[in-house]
Amino acid sequence: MRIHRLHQPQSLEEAQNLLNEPGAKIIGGGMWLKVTGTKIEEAISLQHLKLKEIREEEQYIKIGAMTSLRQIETSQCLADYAGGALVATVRLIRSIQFRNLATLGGSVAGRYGFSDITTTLLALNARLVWQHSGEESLEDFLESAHAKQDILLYILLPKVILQSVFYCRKPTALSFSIVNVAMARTQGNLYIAIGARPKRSILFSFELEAINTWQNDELQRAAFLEIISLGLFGTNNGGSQAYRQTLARVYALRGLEVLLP
Amino acid sequence: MKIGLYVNDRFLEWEVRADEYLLESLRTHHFTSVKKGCDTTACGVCTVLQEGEPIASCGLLTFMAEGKHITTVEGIRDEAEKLAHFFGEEGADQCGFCNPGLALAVYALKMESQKKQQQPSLDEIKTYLIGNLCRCSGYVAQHKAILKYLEVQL
Repeated sequence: MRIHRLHQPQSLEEAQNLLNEPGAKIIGGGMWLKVTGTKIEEAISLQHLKLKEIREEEQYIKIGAMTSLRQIETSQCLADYAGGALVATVRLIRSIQFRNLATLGGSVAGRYGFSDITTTLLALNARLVWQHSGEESLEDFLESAHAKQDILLYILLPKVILQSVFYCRKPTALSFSIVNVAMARTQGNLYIAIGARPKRSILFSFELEAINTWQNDELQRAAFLEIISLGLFGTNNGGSQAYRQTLARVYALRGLEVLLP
Repeated sequence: MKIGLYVNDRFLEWEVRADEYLLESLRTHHFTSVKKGCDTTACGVCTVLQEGEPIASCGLLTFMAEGKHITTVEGIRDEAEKLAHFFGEEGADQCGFCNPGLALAVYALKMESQKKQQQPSLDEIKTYLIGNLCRCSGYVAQHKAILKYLEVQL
């Protein structure tokens, strides 16, 4: 990473004002910015803005955007949340040395196709809280056409999610996923998020009642697998379209076995 | 820009660039036990402890370490020597390049295990040290040495 000028704002208002300047960019943990050798004219560090916390509230678990992946990994609150898929996801991301530096906000705001954590957050119906534009679903953020010039403050995990699972295939422990699948259920709905397609994660939702009916019908199962995989995958150095599709289908069926009551 | 930080419990003030990484800063200031390997946070030879937690110093901008306590292998000399004894017994060393980063990661694991009052299993050790790569050894002798070190120390 190359930085022309560094700013370390002491308040969110100061940070937002700086972000409006030409060439301004936020540094979260800076992990991907380092690897890509990004050049930044006006770098804005959020480290003094007290955005590192994991707090349980009435309807959500609230995670500050500057919370490290290691803090998430070691959080008992998050290990107990919805079957612990978020902790399980983070645990598989590279190394402890990396996870002590990488931030949740940096992982999400970049909308990276390779991101495991984005896939799991998507299945968990996570919501994002921005300084200027307020609250929105992670799904809407990922689908939006343009990058945001805004400060991500918190990620909210709704407590209506009862159980969740995460699967991925990595060639080595330190590699990106070839494909990842996260699934979660509420009382009445099932969510499946598929990422590292290699494009960014995409979300499907189903009524649990419908899925329960399909489970024992071969044709309906086949139709379900088609819905969640048709046209979704591509080929790159990480893997072929066919390999990704095969893996994703296997993971989806495994997830159904775990999640369906 | 000038920043102040603690390295091995000594307060130091350094003039650094905004885009300077802690690995470069430490080596410039003669902490050359901290090695440069992949420079992409993967290999672990640049591991140091920040507030007792292992980090890849090639991935931390030095200004972000302002006010923090950084530990290099010089700061855990006695513990590193104890670990080195077991490495010698098991023949776990070859070139030694990965050792400083590995020693710090093992020390951090020991501290964490002491807090939990629980000795880690071999699988837990392997998982914890997944970010400390060794091109020489094949890891088996290293793991034996680490198990012995932790058995005696915990």
